Amino acid sequence: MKTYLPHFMRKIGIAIFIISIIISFIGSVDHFMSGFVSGYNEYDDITVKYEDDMQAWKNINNGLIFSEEEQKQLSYIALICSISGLLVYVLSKERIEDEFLSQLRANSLIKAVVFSWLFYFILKPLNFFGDFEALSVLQLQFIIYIVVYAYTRKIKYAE
Amino acid sequence: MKNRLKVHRAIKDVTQAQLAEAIGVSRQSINTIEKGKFVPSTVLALKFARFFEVPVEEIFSLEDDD
Repeated sequence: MKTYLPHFMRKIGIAIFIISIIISFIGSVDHFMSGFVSGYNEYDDITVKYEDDMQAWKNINNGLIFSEEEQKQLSYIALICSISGLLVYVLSKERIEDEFLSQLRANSLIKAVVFSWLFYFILKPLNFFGDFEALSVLQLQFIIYIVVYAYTRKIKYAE
Repeated sequence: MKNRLKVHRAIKDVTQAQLAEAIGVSRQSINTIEKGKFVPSTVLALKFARFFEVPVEEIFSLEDDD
């Protein structure tokens, strides 16, 4: 697999990925708070009164921090940022790029594609993650690729 | 495929790092080639031969099952 970006772009890729995680956390703040409310003893009677934890949180906070539409938008932005960051990281060169690393990359890519689709076909019927979109599969492929590549390079073929 | 890279490196008294720098690859690549985990391309094999000033068959040779 060919790399196109200079080595320093790896750090930029990691930074974009971290930003995506932060955006994802911000977008999920209402879910965190509803979970917090349901687990907080003082509000036990409130959570029982409502159909779900989110409804209890809405009642306590007089509405949501982000509307459901905004939550979806933030989640989408986080996913796009995550994929962009991972793509930049994957396409960045090592300090010394050679044919051994190219072969490792190619092998890791094949394993990533196979594992991610296996993962998808096993988990999709179980509805484990709810809506498992195509972009999430792409994100999963990048993550598996990075894990497999790092494992083979740093552990399997460690010096 | 077996190789005598380590032997030639010892004869010439160069470290893996020095060889890697001279050939233009990572030290990890030299290590995996020496251990037989990675088979280099013809270009890389010829670079080794040129560096050690020996024919390429002196460094790399086929095994019976190859």
